[in-house]
Amino acid sequence: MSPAEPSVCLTAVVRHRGAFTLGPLDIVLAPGTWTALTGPSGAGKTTLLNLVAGLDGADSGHVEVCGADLGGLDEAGRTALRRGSIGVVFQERLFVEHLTVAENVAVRLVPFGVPASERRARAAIELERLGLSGYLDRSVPTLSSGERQRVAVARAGITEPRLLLADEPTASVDEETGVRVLEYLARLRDRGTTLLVSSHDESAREKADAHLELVGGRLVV
Amino acid sequence: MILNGWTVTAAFLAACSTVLGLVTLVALLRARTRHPVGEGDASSLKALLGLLLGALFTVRLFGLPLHYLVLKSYVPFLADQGVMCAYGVTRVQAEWVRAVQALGPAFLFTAGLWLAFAAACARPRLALASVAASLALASSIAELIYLAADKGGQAVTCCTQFSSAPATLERVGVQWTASPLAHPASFALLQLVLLVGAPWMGRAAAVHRSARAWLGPLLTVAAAANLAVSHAFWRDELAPRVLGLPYHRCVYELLTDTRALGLAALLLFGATCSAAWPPLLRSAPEGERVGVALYRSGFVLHISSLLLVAVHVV
Amino acid sequence: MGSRHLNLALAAAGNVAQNPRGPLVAASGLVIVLALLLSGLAISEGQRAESLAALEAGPGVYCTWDVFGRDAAVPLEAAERLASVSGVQRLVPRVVGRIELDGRIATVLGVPLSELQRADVARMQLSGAVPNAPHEVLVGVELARALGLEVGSTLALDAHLLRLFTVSGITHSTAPLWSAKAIVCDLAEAQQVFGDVEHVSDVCVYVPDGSEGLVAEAIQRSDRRFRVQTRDLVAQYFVRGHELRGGTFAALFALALALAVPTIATLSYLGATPRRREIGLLKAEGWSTAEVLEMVALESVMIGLGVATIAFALAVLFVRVLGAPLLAAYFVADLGAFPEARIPARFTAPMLVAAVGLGVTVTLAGSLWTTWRTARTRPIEVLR
Repeated sequence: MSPAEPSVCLTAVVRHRGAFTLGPLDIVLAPGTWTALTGPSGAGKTTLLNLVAGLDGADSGHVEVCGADLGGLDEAGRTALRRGSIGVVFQERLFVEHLTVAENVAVRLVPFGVPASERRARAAIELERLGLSGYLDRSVPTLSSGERQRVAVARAGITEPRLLLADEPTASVDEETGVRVLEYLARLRDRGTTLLVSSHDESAREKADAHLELVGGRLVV
Repeated sequence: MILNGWTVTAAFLAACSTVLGLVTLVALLRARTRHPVGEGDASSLKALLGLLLGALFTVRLFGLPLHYLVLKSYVPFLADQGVMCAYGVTRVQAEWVRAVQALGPAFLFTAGLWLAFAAACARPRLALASVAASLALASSIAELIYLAADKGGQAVTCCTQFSSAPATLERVGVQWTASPLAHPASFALLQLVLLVGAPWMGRAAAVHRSARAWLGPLLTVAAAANLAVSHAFWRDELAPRVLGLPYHRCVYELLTDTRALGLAALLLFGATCSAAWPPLLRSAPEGERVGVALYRSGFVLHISSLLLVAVHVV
Repeated sequence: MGSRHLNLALAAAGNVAQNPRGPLVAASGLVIVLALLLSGLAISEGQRAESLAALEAGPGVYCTWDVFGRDAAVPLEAAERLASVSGVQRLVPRVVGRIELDGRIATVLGVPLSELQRADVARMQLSGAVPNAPHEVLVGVELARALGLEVGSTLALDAHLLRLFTVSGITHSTAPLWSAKAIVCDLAEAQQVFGDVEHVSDVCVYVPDGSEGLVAEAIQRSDRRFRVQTRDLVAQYFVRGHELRGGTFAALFALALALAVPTIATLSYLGATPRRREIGLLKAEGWSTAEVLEMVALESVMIGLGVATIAFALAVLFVRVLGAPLLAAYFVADLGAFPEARIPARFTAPMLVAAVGLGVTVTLAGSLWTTWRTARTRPIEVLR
């Protein structure tokens, strides 16, 4: 993908989920930009993020991410794309419960053959940026909601992906923690990562370069 | 049927691999007949075949030494038919023994080759997987038939003269000479070729592409020849020396009574496969990279095998 | 490439070590079955080895008498005639009988006193000494404990005639198993106890090595009423009997192992649901199906290896330390449920190989379907 090509390009994308329909959507995200995604609950924000991440498939339309046409990729291809280019902060803070915080943060480095010592070192760097130094060997169930949030963000950002999708990264955290998370995301943006952040947080919207609002599955201009 | 603990263990593993072989063949058939294997299904099918063939490989690998332990355990049962050792046991129901001893290693070779291809390219090699699964099924069934077969009523004559003193040999007028294949010089020459060639090929940058084209097949031929030469050398030179029983085809006793040499035989087989596979992988996108890794690991297996032999000779 | 596989293997090991509850339930049943199987095979192997060693040290030919086509006691005068057969170096007539003592069956072995000094009995570990006089007896450890006998105790044997003996020695628990319930005494005394001085149970004939067959033939020709067995023939019958018993035992346990496969499959399936969330997350983070499959399959192999190792160790403990209660009696005749004597057992490297093969095969086969199904989890299914 050349620098001029959009990082994400959705063309007439539609996704049906029961009675709810998302789209048709036409979205273009320029590389290295931060786009805020807002809208009421049930507007389809998570569905949109899942489509862009390749976790879900569109019923019609065209989704192109980091130069790859998701419709032409099979499950393995989409997984490979996520592995190499996309980081996701899920709305559900899912972790591998029996792994430590450091192991959870570095879990996506395992299939790359990165040695354990290097994985730990890289996890330590990301956790320090998010104010979680000393949490390396803690177990995830012992963490507070805000701490779990930050661990999830660190996990998504550890490979400095080309595209980072975040679903409510500052939900249920205090203001100071929220600022830390947003600064972390801003740093990634400054280093060239394209961000699509779904959030109700006003300060997240203020940091964004662009704004998309979803209502009832449609973009509001 | 001779019923003992080893028969039951070997039969259990053979039965499991029969079922696994059938499941693998059914999976391959469904993949072929349901729909063509497009890009969308290739990775899933490859993963499934990797799981099934990997499981089969593991089970048949354990079955290999068990086969020789079974043969050894049958000696007392067949003693009144003239059987004196495990080699004598192989002369009862000989065709099934030969089938097991040919099909088992053939499956391990083929399945290992498929796994190497799986590492070297994205698309699964269905034809090769079918061959491997068929070989696994055939060897398991052959083993089950051999284990269940009636082994009574077949008299066996002794295959060699057993003598612990040259004077006895002279007295009975028996002349025995080792085969030319067993000559230490043949054995040493082939080991030299492989011990130099394999690590050299294992240094990816050291060998030019054009040289690889003929050096690879040369190593394959040398590895195959090494199997034959090693077998003769072990039978005619190593076994008499280690077991202290000259002029006796004691290779089977060597494998079961000196455990380290049983392991050495397995390592030698692994080294042979590692030298034979790389030229066959040349058509795969990552074939050269996987080939380099195979040469390196083959060298390690080969030298380990030789060290175990050397310890027993010295 | 190598680092990736190493990482996956280490991840698999970490999963098994840190989250053992799931595999523990499935593995524990398999461990017990495998441990019992290995214990039985080890006892069978040990018995066979001990029997063969005893035979190897013993006579080349055994003679009994044929009455109505069955083994019978040998007339003493016929036994004495064996000395004239060519090739016979030494004759040892024996009385081998059974006697009831306090409700227990004991074996009485009567051999000439001079033979006791040179036989294996003399090399056994025992408290006291080998009998040196006609009124002395050697008693097996299990029998001595049951009857409360010590060296110097008086023992009364009464089959047909009451005879009083002094216990000169008691075998150690490490002595060969046949001696644990035996009473060894002088031949003439044994004959007196059983009230038959005209016969012996059998005659052990010592011959030069390699001439057993020829001497056996000569004995048979000298008197067709002799039933003659060479050492090799006896060894074959011993081995076949042991092996057959071991094989039948193993077959039953193979059935149990076969049933373990669907059991593990069911338990794996039931335990798969929480695992699917973990796998879904890994795949969302970029792990491929093949990598997940490799990790989960390696977990099964590691569990199988662990099962085999623990089963082997448990089997050693069960046999060597506990004496294989209830199990040993299947292999050794007349042995109580909780034997005092050392149980002959051999734990060999091939047995460990067999244990590993069985353990890995059962866990792999049992978890195959669940492994495949779990690895195919689509991330979106667990993220909703």
